[in-house]
Amino acid sequence: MIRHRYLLLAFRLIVGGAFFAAGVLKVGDPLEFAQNIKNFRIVSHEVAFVTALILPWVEILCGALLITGIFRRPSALLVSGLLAGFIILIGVTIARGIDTDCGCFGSLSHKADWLLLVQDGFLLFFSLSILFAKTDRP
Amino acid sequence: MNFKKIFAGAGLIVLASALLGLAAHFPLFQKFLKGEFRESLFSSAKFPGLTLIGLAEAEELFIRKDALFIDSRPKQKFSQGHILNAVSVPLEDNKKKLNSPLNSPFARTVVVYCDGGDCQESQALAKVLHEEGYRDIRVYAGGWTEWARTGHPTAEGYDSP
Repeated sequence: MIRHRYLLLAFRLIVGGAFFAAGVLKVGDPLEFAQNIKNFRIVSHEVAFVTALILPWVEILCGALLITGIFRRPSALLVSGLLAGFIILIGVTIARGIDTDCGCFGSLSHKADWLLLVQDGFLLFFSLSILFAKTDRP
Repeated sequence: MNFKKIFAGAGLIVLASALLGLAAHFPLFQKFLKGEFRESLFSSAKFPGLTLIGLAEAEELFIRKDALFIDSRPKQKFSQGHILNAVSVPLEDNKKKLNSPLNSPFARTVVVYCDGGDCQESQALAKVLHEEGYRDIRVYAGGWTEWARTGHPTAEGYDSP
């Protein structure tokens, strides 16, 4: 378990910044994001639509809360859950041979591939470190 | 560490996000409740002239020879079988814009298809075609699977007309 407070602060800023940016880049065009979700061929059309309306806001709120340090453990829990979900989703997509953009950063998104899997793995490690940090103010 | 508090906090964030999401996109959500966006995710304001069609309309356009049929699947699948007279424009090579312009005027109707079922290539390519300037774009939802299964004219190989 990481106890170094400045390292934990850096983790918060990295994960928070990534999620805040991801949310802001998607929030303006929910239909485009819904299509990106559909491209993974996992959820139904309706679920994709509703997820596209809500998920960017979850990312924006969690990102802002992690950056500011308010509500950091609940935010870290949500972010960890989301990242675990993304990792499974990307893994399944690669295994099924589906060639699609991840849709993570709106029009700046790149392919759902191994590199993205590794990136999300690092972010998950950072967010879990924040969630289980021992210090009072990570 | 109080996990009860952490989960409650996470629930609160999700609730706040849901409220923000619905408030920010309320007109869109209203349209969804009225039945729009149930089959496709095109905004009629952003992509005018882009519609989903079924087998009957695709067949009609094929018989009248009014429309250019566009196969958005990978080249290999096109080669194994495609709608007769369709041209191959694989989405994988034309994701952001068309690599080479189509030999067809913008005013002509185009019918885009992929495998059918839950395939998404046709809708994505339809948006690219719209960006290129085509204004009457029909996405044939049943796609290759339905067309071939119902015994409509097909061809094999890569002799794109």
